[in-house]
Amino acid sequence: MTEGESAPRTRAAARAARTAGTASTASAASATLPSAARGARGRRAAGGRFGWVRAASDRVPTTWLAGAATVVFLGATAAFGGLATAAEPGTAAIEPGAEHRNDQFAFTVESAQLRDADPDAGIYLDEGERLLSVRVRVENVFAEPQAVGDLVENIAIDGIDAKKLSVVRVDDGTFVSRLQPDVPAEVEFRLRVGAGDYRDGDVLHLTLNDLSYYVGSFVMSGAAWVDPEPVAEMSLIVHDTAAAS
Amino acid sequence: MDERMTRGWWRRNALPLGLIVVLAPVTAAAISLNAWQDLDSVHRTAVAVGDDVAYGGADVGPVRARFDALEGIPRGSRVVAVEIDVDPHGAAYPCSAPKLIETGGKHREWQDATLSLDRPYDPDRVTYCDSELTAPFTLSFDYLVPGDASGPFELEFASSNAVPDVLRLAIAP
Amino acid sequence: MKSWLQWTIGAGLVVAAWGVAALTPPEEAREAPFPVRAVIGEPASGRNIETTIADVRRADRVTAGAWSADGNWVVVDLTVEAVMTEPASLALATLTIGDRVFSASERPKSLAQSALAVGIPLSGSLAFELPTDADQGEGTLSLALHGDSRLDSVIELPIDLGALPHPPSIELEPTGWTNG
Repeated sequence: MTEGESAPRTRAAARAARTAGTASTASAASATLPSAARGARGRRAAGGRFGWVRAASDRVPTTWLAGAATVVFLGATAAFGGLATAAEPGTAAIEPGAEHRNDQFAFTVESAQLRDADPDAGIYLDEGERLLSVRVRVENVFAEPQAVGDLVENIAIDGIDAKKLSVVRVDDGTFVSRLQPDVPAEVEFRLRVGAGDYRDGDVLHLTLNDLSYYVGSFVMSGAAWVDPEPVAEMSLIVHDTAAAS
Repeated sequence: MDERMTRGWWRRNALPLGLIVVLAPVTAAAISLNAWQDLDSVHRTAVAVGDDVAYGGADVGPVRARFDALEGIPRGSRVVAVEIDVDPHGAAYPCSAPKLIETGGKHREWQDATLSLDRPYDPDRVTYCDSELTAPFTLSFDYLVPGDASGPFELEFASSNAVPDVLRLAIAP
Repeated sequence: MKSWLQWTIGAGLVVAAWGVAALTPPEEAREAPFPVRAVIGEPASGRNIETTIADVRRADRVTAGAWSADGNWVVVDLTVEAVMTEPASLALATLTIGDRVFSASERPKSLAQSALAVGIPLSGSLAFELPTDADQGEGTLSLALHGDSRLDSVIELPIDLGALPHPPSIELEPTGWTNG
C-alpha cells in the first residue's frame, strides 16, 4: 500500500498502485542498499524465487532436455543390470524325506517303488505289467478341502502323464478324492507300467511346483489354484520290491 | 439456449411426438412377442393317450402305462411301467430315456430308474434306442414314484433327429 | 442461500451417503444362497431338497461294514429326498468350523455319493474327518444339491462341537430307502 492513498477500487488500480509502489521503493532503495536489494528486485521482477530456473530452462532447447533425461534413465537401467531379461531364480534341490511346504500342502515325498500285483493292497495288474508307486505323506494346510488333482500338480514326475496317475490312501486303499484341512494322510501315486519300463535303481526326476490361489472378481466367480511354478527338484531312486525279497 | 415448451413448440413437434407414442409400445410388443416365440411351448408336441405321431423320422406311439409293484421298492411307492411302440422305418433311430412329468399337482419330474429296479431278466425287453434296431420295436421304461403321485402324467420324449422339438406323450396308468 | 444452511445441507448429505454405503449389501449378496435353518429331528425344505437330520455325533472310530478308520470323526445321520426334479444328489455336504471347511469324507460309502429320488426318502449317514485339534467351537453343517450353491437353497444346522454326544465308536448307517 502506498502512503496516503485510499484502498484501490478495481484490480487494475491495485496493480497500478503496486507497480508504482515497487518502483518508488526500488528507486529509493537502489541509492542506499547494495547488490542484495538489486538482486531481490531482479528476483521479484522475473517472477518469484524460482524465476531463475524458468529463465535458465527457457534458454536450453527442449531436445537437449529430452536427451539428458534419456541418458539419465539408461544410466540408471545399466546400473540395475541393463535391458536384458532378469534371470529366473533357480530351483532348489530337495532330498526324499524332506518336507516341502507351500500355501496348499505340506508334503514329504518318501519313496518310489516297483510292485507286483497284490489284491490285498488293491493292486490289480495285467500280464507283463508292474506298478510304479510314489509314496507321499501330505497334509492340506489350506482352510478348505483340496482336490487331489491339485496335489498331483504340486508333484510333477518327469516322463509321466499326470492324468494316468491314480492316488490311493495307504491305510484303507480308497481312492483319494479330496484332502481335508489339517488332516495328514499317507498316499501313493500309482501308475501301471510295462515290466521293462522301470528297473531297480532307476532315478525318477520330480519337480515340485507351487501354485497361487486366484479368486475370480468382476466377471468371474469362484477361486482356483493356478500358475504352477517349479520351486524344487528331487531325484528319487526306484526300489524294486520284488528284487528285495 | 433453452427452448420453453410453448404451445408453438407442441404444434411444431406434434408429428414426431405422435410417432413416438405409437412406435415405442409397438416396438416393445414386437420384441417381447419375438422372445416369447422361442419358448418351449412352440417346440412341444402334445400327444393324447393312445395316439401315435410321426417324430424325427419314426412313428412314435401308442404308449401304454401301468402301475407296478416290484421287489425291493420302498413302502408306499409304486413303479410306473411304460411301453412305447416305435417304428423307425428301417433307419437307425436315436432317442434318450424320457422324463416322467406330473401334469397336475406339484409338477414333479422323475428320471427313468429302469436299471436300478429289480425286474426279472427278460432278454426281449428293449430299454434304450439301439441304433441296430430298424424294425418296429417297443421301448420299456420304469419310474419309481411316491404313493401320492397318481397322475395324470406325461412323458417328455426326445430324439436327436428332431431337436429342439420334443414330444409330450400323455399317459394314464 | 445462507452459508450456515449450505454447510448443514452438505453435512447432512455426507451423513446420508455414509448411511447408504453402510446399508448396501456386499457384492456377494447378489448371488448369495438361500439358507434354510434346520432343527434336529424336524424336516427342513429347500427348493429341491427336503431333509430331516436325525443325529449328529462324534467318535474316535467309525465303521461301515468292513471298513473302519480311527481319527476325529463327526457322523451325521439323516434322511433326504429330492422334491421337484431328478437327478439330484448331496453334492454339497460341508461342516464349517471356525474358518475351516470340511467336506463329507469319500472314504466310506455314504449318502454323499447317492442319487436322490423325488418324493421317496433315502436314509444314511455322512462322515466328516476332522483334524485332531478340532474338538471345540461352533460350526455349521451345510447341505445342498450343488457344490456351487449360489442362488439355491442350502440347509444349515448349527453345531456345537464340544456338546456333541461322543461314543467311542460309531457304525455308519448303510444307505437305503427310509421306508424299505
